Amino acid sequence: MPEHMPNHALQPTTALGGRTLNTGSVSIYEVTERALVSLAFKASDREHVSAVLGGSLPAVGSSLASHLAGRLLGLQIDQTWCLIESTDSAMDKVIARKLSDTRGIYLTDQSDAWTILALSGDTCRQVLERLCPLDLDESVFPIDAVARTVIEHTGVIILRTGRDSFELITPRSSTASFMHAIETVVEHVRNEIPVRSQDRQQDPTTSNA
Amino acid sequence: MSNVNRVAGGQIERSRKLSFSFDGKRLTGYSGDTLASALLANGEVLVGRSFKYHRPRGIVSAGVEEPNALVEIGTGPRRDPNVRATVQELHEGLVATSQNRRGSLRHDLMAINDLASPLLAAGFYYKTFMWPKAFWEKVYEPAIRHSAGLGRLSMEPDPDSYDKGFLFADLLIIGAGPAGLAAALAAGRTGARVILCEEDFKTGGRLNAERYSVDDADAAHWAATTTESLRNMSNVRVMTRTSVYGAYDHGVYGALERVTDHVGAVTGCARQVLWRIRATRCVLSAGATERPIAFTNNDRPGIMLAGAVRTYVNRFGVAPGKRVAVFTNNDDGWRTARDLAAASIEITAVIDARDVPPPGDISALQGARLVRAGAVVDTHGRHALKNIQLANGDTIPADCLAVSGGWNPNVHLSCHQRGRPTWREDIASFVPGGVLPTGMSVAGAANGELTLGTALRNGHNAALAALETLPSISLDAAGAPPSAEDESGFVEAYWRVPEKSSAFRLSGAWKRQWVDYQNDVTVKDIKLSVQEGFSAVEHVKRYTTLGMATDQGKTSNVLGLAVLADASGRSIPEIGTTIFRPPWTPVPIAALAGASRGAHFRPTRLTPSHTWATENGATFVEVGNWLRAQWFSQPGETTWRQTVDREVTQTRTAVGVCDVTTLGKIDIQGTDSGVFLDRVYANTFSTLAVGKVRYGIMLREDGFAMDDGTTAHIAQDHYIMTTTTANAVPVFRHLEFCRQCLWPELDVHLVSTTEAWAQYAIAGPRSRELVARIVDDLDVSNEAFPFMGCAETTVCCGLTARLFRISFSGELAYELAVPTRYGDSLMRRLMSEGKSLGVVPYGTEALGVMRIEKGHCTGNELTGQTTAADIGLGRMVSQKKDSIGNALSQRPGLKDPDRPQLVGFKPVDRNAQLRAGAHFIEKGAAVVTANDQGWMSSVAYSPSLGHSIGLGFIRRGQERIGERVRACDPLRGEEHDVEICSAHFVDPDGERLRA
Repeated sequence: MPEHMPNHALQPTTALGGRTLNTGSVSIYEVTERALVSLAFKASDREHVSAVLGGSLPAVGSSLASHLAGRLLGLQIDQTWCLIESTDSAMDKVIARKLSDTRGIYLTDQSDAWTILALSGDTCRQVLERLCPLDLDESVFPIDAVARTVIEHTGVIILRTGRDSFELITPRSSTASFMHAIETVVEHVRNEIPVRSQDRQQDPTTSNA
Repeated sequence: MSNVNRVAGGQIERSRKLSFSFDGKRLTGYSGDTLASALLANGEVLVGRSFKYHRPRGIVSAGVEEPNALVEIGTGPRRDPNVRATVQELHEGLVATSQNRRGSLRHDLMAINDLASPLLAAGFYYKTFMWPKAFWEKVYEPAIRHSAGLGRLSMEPDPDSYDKGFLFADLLIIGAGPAGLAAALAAGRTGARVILCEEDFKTGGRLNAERYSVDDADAAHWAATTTESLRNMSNVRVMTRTSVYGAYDHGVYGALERVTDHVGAVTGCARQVLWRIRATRCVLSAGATERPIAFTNNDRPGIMLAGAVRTYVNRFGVAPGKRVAVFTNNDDGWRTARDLAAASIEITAVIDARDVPPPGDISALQGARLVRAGAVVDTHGRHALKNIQLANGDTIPADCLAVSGGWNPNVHLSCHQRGRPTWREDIASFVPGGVLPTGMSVAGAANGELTLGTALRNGHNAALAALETLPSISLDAAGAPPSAEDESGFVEAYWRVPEKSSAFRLSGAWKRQWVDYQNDVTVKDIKLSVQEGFSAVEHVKRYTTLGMATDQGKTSNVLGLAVLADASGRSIPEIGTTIFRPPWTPVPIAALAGASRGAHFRPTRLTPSHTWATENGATFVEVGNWLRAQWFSQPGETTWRQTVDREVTQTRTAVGVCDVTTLGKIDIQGTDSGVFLDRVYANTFSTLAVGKVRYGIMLREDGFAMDDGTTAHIAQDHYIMTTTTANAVPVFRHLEFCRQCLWPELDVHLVSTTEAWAQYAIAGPRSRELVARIVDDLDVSNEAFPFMGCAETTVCCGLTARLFRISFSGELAYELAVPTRYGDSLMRRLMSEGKSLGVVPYGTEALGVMRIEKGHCTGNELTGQTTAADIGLGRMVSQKKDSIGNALSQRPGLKDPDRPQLVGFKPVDRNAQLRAGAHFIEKGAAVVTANDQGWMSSVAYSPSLGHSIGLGFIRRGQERIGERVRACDPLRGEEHDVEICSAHFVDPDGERLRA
C-alpha cells in the first residue's frame, strides 16, 4: 500500500468537499491532495538547513521545488513550508525520515489547518485586486513568489504558480466564508465586463451632432 | 415639447435617445448627457429648493462642485438622496425626484421660511432654542431637522453590492484634463505603471467644454484619441467615473469608482468599488473650480457659472437660456459670450467688473450691451431669472446669467495631510503650498496654471519630474509635450458688489447676497459672525455653516474668505483656509463597508463537527468568529434549560462529548521550550515530564492574569499549549513577541495548530470506556494513564491522534485530538460507539454550567482586572523563577488582602434566579457605588444541585464563607440574599476527575 494511503476506519472530509467553480474566465478549485508541513529553525542555521534540504532553501518571499520536500515556501527567515503531493495527515514524520539530519529543524504538519484554493484564468488578477492588498504585478510578484497577507479579515498565504494562476492558502475553518468572498467578486467581475465595454471614450468627431 | 433648448454641436450621441423622469414628468435626453444637461435641454430650470430658506434653485455648475441641483435618484430601496444632477449620467428609465420640499417643487410650503429670513440668520438656533433645556433634543432639533435638510434615505436595506480593492502604480494621475492627459501620455510612453483617474465619465476636462485646439486638432478630439492611446498601453490604466477622494499616509489614495451608476441597477455587479491606490508618485491635476460673485439675489434659477454655461453649450449642445447675460471679472466671461454667440444664442449683455476694454474679437456680440466697470446689483424672477438690474438702474432681460468670479485651483488633495495652500495674487486664488503628501506634485490648473498651453507643458513636465527619481525608468521615450496656445486669462479680484454703491441702496439693504448656495449662507451671515466674535475662519465655518455639507464649499469657500477678510479688516492670506479633509466628494457608507455586511460582516469559522451538529439539532452561538453548538435540542424539549439540564445530567452520570477545537493550540518546539514556558507562565513547566500535562496561568507584564490553559509535554523538546478560545490569537501574538523580541537567543519555535486538530472533550464517569473503544493500543486505565497524562497515539485502526486526560467539567475526562479532516468522522464514531454507554453531545451552555459547578474560570473571571491571587491561584506564581508579570504581581496594590476574591454564591431562597452582573452589598446598606463589595461574574442553574449558583468576586471572599450579603441588580430591579460559599460546588476534592 502506498505510504500516504490511510487504512484506518475514519473518513476524511475537506473544507469545501472538493468544490470547483469555473466561469470560463476564472476557475477555482479546492486542492485536496496536498500536504503542508512547516520547517522551523534558527535563522542562524539557514546554511545547515539548506544543506539538509539538498542545497535548496528559498529566500523569504519566494518558493522553489525541492526533490526532498516538494515545493518549499520561504515565509519567514526562520521558517519554510513544504507543499507536497500527498493525502497523508502526518507528512511531518515522512519528511523527517527523508532528511539526513533533523537536528535544529522542527517539523509541524499543518495540512489540516489550511485549505488550498487554486485560482486561475484570464480575469483572476482582476478578481484578486479586489481581495488581496498585495501588488501582484509580475514585476513585483513574479511566478513562484509567495507572501503572507490578509484577505477578507483572514490570514492568507498567496503563491503565484503562473502568470494567471495563484494558490491561496487559507485557514480551514473559515474557508466557506473565504470562498463566498471570492465567488462574489468573481461574479461581479464577470458581470461587469459588458458594463465596462460601453466605457470607451467616444470621439466627438464621430458623434452625429 | 422636449429638448427645446438643444443647439447644434456637442458631444452627445443624438442617435441614442433616452427617456427619464423628473418629479414624475416624462422627458428625453441623449446618451452622453448628464441629468443636469438633459433637464436644461428640456427647459427645466427650477430643480431644487435651498437648504434653509427653501428658495427656488437651479443648476449652477456642470461638475462635482454643484451646490444646488441635488436630487434623489431611483425608487424604493434604491432611492439615493443628494445626487448631484451635474454628475449623474443620464440612462434609460432614470427616475429623478427633487428633494427638500413640502408640496410640489414650484409650491413648496416651507418657502415661508424665506419670508421669515430676517429671523433666521446665522446662529439663530443657538440663540433661540435655549429654553427649556429638555426641549432641544425632543422638540426643537426634530422640528428643525424636519424642516431643513437634504434628501431622504430609503430606510430599507441597500440591495446593491459594493467591492473594495487595491491598486498599485509608479505614478497616479488625479484628473484627466489637459494637464493630466499630458502627464499620462508622457509617463505611459516611459513604460512606467500609470493609473489615470477621472471622476467624469469622459476624459478631457475643460477640453470637452471649450473650443480649444491641441496639436492643431480639436481639443476634445485630441482628448479622445489620446485617451484611446493610453488605453492601448498595457502599463496604463485609465479609470473614468473614479473620484480620488483622499490622500493618506505613505502614498495611499482612496478612490471611489462608480461602476453601474450610469446604467442603473445591474444584477450581480458591484455598484461601486472603493479602491485603495498605493502610488510611488502622484501628479495632482484636478483642475480648478470657477467661483461666483456675490450680488443681491444671485441665487435665482438661471444664474450659473460662466464656465458651466460654456460646458452645456459646447459639450452637451444645450443652451442654458435663450437670452443670456454675462457678469465677469476676467476674460473667461468674454469667451463665454463669444461661444454662445457662435451657437446662435442671444447675448443681451456682458458686464465686466473691470475697467478694461473687451479682450479679443467682439464682432459676434453685436446687439449685446457691453458694460465696463459695471455690476449686477439685483435680479428678478421667482422660479426662473427674468432680468438683471445694473448699477445704474438699467434692467436687462435675461433668462440666464453667466457669472465668472475667477477660478480656484482644486488644492484639496494636496492639503489632506495638513498642507496649507498659499495665496497667489496674480490669479487671486490659493494654490498648493506647504508640505504636500509624500510623492505628490501638482500640475495644470490645480497648480494655478490656468491657461491651456502652460497646463499641457506643466502636466508633461510634472510626470517626468515625478518619474525621474524612480529606478529603471527611462524618460527618453516620453516625447515632447502636446502644444496649444495660451488663451488670455487676466483676472482682477472682484468678490461682491459693494454695499456702498449707490445702486445697492436702490435695491434695498435688506436683500441678501449669497455666498454658499448649499447652506444658504449670505454676506450678512458672515458679517454677523465677525460682529459676534466668531472671526477665525474655523469659527466662521461652524457659526454660519459656510463650506459644510455635500459640496464642502467648493464654489463658496474663497468667496467667503474674501467677505470675511473685508468684514474683519484682514487680507485673505492672513485669514487662511479651513482644514481640508477627505473626502473630496461624498463617499457612500455602503462603499466603505464593501462586502462586510450582514452575515458576511466577518468570516465565520466552522468547527469540524459543524455538519454533524447541524444534522443533530444544534443551536449555534457565535464565539468570536466561531459558530459553536450551544445545545442539542431533542424532541419534546420546550426550553433550552431542559436541554442543557439533560446534557449536564447525562454527562455527569454517563458520558458527554463536546467539540473543543476552538480552544487555541500552539505547537512549541525547540531545545529551549521549557525555559521559554517558564518565562511566559507564572508557574514552572521545565520540570514537567514527557507525557504529562500541567495547568498554567499566564500574566501580563503588569501582573494581572492574562490567560489560562493547559500545556502538554508531548515529546522531548515539544510542548502543546492550549489557550482559551477568545485569547487564541492574542496569546500567540504575545508569545511571538516574546520569542522574537525579548529572547531571540532561545531555540524555540511556535506554530498555531488550532485548526490542524479536531479536538473533543469526552467527559463523565463512563468516558474511559468510550475512549477505550476508540484508541488502538493505549492503556487508558487510571494507573497507566492518570489524571493530567498525555500521549501521542492512534485511534480507529491507525489514525494519528493525541490524547490528554484533562477536565474542564470536573468529571473523569479526556480530550482526544485527530487531524481536522477526520473530525466529522470521529464525532460520528464517538456517538455510535458511545450509544450503549449513554453518550450525549453537549454544547457550550452545558460546558459553562459544568465549569461553574466546578468553579473553573473563564473570560468572565479573567477580565484583565483580576490577578492570579484574586482567582485563588496566587500560589501558582512561582517566586523561584522570573516570569512575565511576576515582579508587578507582587505590587502592594495587587497583594492587598482587601481585594475582591473569587468565591461561590448560593441564593438563600433556593428558588431565586441569580444574575451575572449583580453587585454585592452588605445587608442594610444603600445600593450605591460606595457600598459596592464586588460583583457576580458567572451564574448558572445547576441541575446537579437543583438551584441557581454563581461565581463572583467579593472583598476578602475566602474569609467570608458562610456569610450572607445581597446581590443587587439595580438595572433589572432585582435583589437576592446570597450565601458566600466555596467556588467548587461539585466534587470539591477532585475525586471524580482522578477516578
